[in-house]
Amino acid sequence: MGILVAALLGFIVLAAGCGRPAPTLEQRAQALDRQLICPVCPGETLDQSGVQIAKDMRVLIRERLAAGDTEEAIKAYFVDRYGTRILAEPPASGISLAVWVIPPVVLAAGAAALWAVVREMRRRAVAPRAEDESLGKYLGAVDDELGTGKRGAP
Amino acid sequence: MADLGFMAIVLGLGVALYAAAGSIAGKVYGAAELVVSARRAAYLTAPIALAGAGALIAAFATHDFSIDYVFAHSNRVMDREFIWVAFYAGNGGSLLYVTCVLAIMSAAAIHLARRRLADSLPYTTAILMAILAFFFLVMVVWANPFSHTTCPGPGGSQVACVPDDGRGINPLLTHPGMWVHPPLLMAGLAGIAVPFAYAAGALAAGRTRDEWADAARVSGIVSWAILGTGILIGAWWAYTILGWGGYWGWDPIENVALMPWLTMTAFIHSIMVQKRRGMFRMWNIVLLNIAFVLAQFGMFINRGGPVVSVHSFAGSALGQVFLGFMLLSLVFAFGVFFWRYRWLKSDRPVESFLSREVAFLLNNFLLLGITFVTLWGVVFPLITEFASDGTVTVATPYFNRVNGPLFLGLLAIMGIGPVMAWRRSSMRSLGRWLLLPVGLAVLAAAAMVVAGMREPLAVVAFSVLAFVVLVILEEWFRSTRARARAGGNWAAAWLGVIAGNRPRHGGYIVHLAIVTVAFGVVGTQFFDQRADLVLKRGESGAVGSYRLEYANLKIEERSDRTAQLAHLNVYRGNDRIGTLRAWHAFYPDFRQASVRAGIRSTPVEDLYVVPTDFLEDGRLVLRASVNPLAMWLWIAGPVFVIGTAVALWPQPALEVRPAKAQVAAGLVRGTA
Repeated sequence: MGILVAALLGFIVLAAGCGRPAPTLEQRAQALDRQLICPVCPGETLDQSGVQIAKDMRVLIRERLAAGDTEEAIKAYFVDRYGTRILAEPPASGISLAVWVIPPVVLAAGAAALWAVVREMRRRAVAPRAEDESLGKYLGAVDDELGTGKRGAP
Repeated sequence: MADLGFMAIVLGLGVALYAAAGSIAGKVYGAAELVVSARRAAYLTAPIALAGAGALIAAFATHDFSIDYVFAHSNRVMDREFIWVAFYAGNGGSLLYVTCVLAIMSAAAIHLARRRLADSLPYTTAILMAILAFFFLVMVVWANPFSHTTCPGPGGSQVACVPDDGRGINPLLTHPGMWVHPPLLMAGLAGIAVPFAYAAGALAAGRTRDEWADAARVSGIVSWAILGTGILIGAWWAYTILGWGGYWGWDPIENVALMPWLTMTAFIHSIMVQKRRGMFRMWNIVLLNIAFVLAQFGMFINRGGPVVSVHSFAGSALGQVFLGFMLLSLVFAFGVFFWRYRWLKSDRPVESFLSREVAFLLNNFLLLGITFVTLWGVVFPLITEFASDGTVTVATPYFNRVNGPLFLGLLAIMGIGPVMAWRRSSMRSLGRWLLLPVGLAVLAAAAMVVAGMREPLAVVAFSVLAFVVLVILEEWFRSTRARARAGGNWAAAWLGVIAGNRPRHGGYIVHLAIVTVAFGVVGTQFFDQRADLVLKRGESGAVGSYRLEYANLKIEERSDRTAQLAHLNVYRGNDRIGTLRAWHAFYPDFRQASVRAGIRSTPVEDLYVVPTDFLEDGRLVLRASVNPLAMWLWIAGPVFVIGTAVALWPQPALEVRPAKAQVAAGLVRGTA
C-alpha cells in the first residue's frame, strides 16, 4: 500500500510541476532578491531589507533582467563587486563545500547508527532467553489456540 | 536605590553559594540540619533577587539617572508602561531578570520535589544554586545593573554625575510584543536548568532508575512551553515591526533559541518512553545535557558572542565569561553522565521497527538533525572566519533548503506516530488506521493540483498536514463515538476522551498547533507576492489582486520622534474594501527608524504594507506584500498553550478499591 500511495502522490506532484507556467520577470527578480544578501545588514536578504542599498539593488536586478541578463550573470556581477558573502547560500565549492556536505553525512551516519541499534535490540528481544525456554511450549499452545501463528514473527 | 540593589545581588551571591556548598556538605557528611538549612537558603534567593529587581524598577520609575543602566535605557518622555521593557533592555538588567526567574523556578522546583526526590534533592539544589551563583557573580563583577553614571570630569577623568535626562529606550522595543517576548524567551532558556538539575542530581545521588522522570518531564514541558510561546510572540513582533513581512529570519539569535526548544521537544517525547516502558534512560539524560548546554550556548551568543545580529546586546567581555560557563556546563553534564552511564540500562529492548518506541526515536532523530543543521549554519561562518578571509554567509535560503525536508519528515512522523502501538504494531492494524487519512490526504493533493496549485513542494506539504490532522480526528472520532454510545452526548464524550489520557490528548492539541503554524509557514513561503510602490497623493499601485491608493498623510512631532501616519485605501477590482494605516517614525537620538506595518488580516491572506521612505517631493515609498495564510501562525499560539495546559493538568489519582468490596457490591460479574 505504501508503494501505491507514494506512486500516486509522486504522479500528482509531477502533474503539478509540469503545468507550471514560465515565471514572469517580477517572479524571477523576487527569486533573486531572496538569494542575495543586503551588504550592510548582516543576515538579511534583499527582499527582507528596507535600507536604501537593498532598494537600489532590487531596482538594478529588475533592470538587468529586463535587459536580458541571466540569473547567473546577475549573481556573478554582485559577487564580483561584494565577494561571495553577498550570496545567501554559500557556493558548493572550496571551503564552503563543507557547509553542504557535512549535514547529509552526519544525518546519514546518525540514521545508520539508529537503525543498527534498533536492529541489535530487536535481535536480543526476539532471541529466546533461558527462562523463556521452559515457557515455550505453553506459549506455543496459546498461540495455536489463538491462531496467531509463530511467536516472535514480526 | 543603587546601593540597596547592589547589596541585594552581593547578598544573593553569598546565599546561593552557601546553599550550594551546604547541600553537598550536608549530604556527604550526613548532616540533615545542614541540608535543610541549605534548602531554606535556596528559597531565600528568590526574595533577594526580587528585591534587586524591585530596586532597579523603582529607580526607573523615579528617573534615577545616577544609575547608568537607567540613564542608558530610559528617559522622561518614555511611556511609563515601557519601564518593564527597559528593565531588561540591556545586559545588566536582563541578567537580573534571568536571575529572578531562575531563583523563583529553583525555589519552586526544590519545594515541590522535597518529599518525592528527598534523596537526590541536595545535589539538585546544589546544581541549581551553582548556576544561580554564577549569574549573581556576573552581575557583581562584570555587568552591575546598579553602577553609577559617569561624565567626563576635569583632566579627562570620569566623575559620578546625575544627568537631567536619560538616553531613552530603543524604539524597536516599544511594542506590546516586547512586554512578553524577551521575558518568556529568557525564562524558557533559564528554565531548562530545572529538568537538567533533577536528572543530574539524581545521577549524582546514584538514583539511576526513573525517580526523576516525572519531575523532569513536567518541568521540562513548562520551560519548553514558555520558550515556544516566547519564540512565537517574537515572530509576531518581527512581523509587525521589522517591516519585511517575515517572521523568522534564521538569524543566529533566533537559532540559538530554537535549538534548545527542538532538543526539549525531543526530550518531552522520549521521556514518555522511559515513563511508560523504562527504556531510553541514557538517551534522555543525553538530551537534557544537550538542551542545557545549548541554552548556555544561547546565553553566550547573545551576550557579546562572536556573531553579529540585530538582537545581540552590545559586544562586551561578557562573551568570554559565558563561553567559559558553557564549556564548564558541557564538562559537568557529560562528566556526571559518564560517571553513571553503566547503571542507566534499559529494562527492555525495542521489539519491533513498527512500534511507538521507534516512532519516538525517529522523531528524536529528525529533531536533533534539524538542531545539528541549525548549529552548523550558525557555527560554520565563524569557522571560516578563522580559517580564511571570512567570506561566507549562511542565511535563510540555506536553512530552508536543508531543514525544510527534515521538517516535512517530522510532520509525517507526527501523523504516523500516534497510530503506532507500544512494543509492536501489526501491519494490519496500521493499515486499518491509516487507510482513511492517507486516502483523504492523497485526494486533497489531487484536488489542489486540479484547482491549479503549481508548487509541487507546497502540494506535498499541505497534503502531509491534512494527513496529520486526519489521523488525530480519526482517533478522536472513534473513541468519542465509543464513549457516546455508552451514553451521554458527543461533546461530553469528547471531553471525557481528552480527560482520560491528558498527556496524550494534550499532545495531540499541541500537534494541531504545530500543524497550524506549518500551514501558515507553507502559505507565506510559497505563495507570497511583493511589490515596491512609489505613490503620489491620490495615486495607486497594485500588489497581488489588491490596489492600494495613497489617501493622505498625518505628521506627528514628539520630543523623541517624528512620526508619519499614511492612510491608504484598499481596492479589490473597483470595490473599496477597507483602509490601512501604516506608521513610520524616525528617532533622531537613536538615528533609527521604526515602523508599524499596516496589516489587513483575513484567514486567507494578509495584505501587508510598510512605509519605507517619504520623498522630498511628497511621494511615499511602500513595501507591500500579500502573505497567504499568515493569520494561522498566530492562531496557533492559544492552541499551543491550551494543549500544553491539558498535557500538564494533573491526572486524578486512580481510585483504589479492594476487589473484595467490589465483589460484595456486585460490581464484578461472574463471581457473585
